[in-house]
Amino acid sequence: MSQVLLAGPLGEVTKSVLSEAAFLFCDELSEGAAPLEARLVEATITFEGATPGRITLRLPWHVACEAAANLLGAEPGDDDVEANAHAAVGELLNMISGSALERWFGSGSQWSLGLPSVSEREGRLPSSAPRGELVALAIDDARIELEASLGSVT
Amino acid sequence: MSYSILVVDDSPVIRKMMKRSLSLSKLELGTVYEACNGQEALVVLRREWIDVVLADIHMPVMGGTELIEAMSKDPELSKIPVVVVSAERNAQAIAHLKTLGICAHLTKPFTPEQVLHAVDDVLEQVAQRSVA
Repeated sequence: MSQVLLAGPLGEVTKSVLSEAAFLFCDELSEGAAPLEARLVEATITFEGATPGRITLRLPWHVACEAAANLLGAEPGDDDVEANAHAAVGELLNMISGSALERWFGSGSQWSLGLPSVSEREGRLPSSAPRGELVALAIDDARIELEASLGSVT
Repeated sequence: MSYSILVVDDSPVIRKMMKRSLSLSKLELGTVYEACNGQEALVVLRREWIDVVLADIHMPVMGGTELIEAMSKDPELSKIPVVVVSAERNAQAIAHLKTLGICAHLTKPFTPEQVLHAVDDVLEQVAQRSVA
């Protein structure tokens, strides 16, 4: 499968998962949208199978906290929201990846999804040197990004 | 009669979502236990009375498939119904889980209603078996 075939389905499942699971509604990123310099949460998951690869999700910190609050049924300022922001982003990526793999390869194909790893950093979106295909969306004008790549993940 | 449920997931967010979903149940719920992986789940299962297990598949230390395999080999645990709640959508992996005797498979993302429906169904089956 060529890299260019990854983005469309990945964008669609991301919109679906974020709205269904976390009540986060994505819009298409408007052309000429400004880059984002922000505290970011980044989650990456790898998958093995006939076609191995990796998917990365990058969200601004405040969107990660909003996701955690919505998943937990809590208010954004509640004590455990920030503590669960990383776990929330990892779990959302897990959900997105399961759906994306099914869309890309079909449920009859064999693959094995790894565990998400989550980190936090000051960073810039769009990523300056992506290793895969980028999908950029907006949640309340905040830029979020997914990056998908096929090939060896070692 | 109250029912005790074990939620097995490495994500604290999912465990909290499950507990919140279960709290909406009209069933009389007892304790909802939590475990982060299959190994922790086996400790709880050997220590407490559990009516239903809700288990993820992809977890560190011991995954859900290994947990279900271990339960199926243990006469004390093999009758406890398991509902798999996972992002796993691979048909072969799900078919394998069914051969191990899981009662239901929910894919993430899930709604509270889906969790409640699955648990209600399983507990109804358990109640019917105990009457028979």
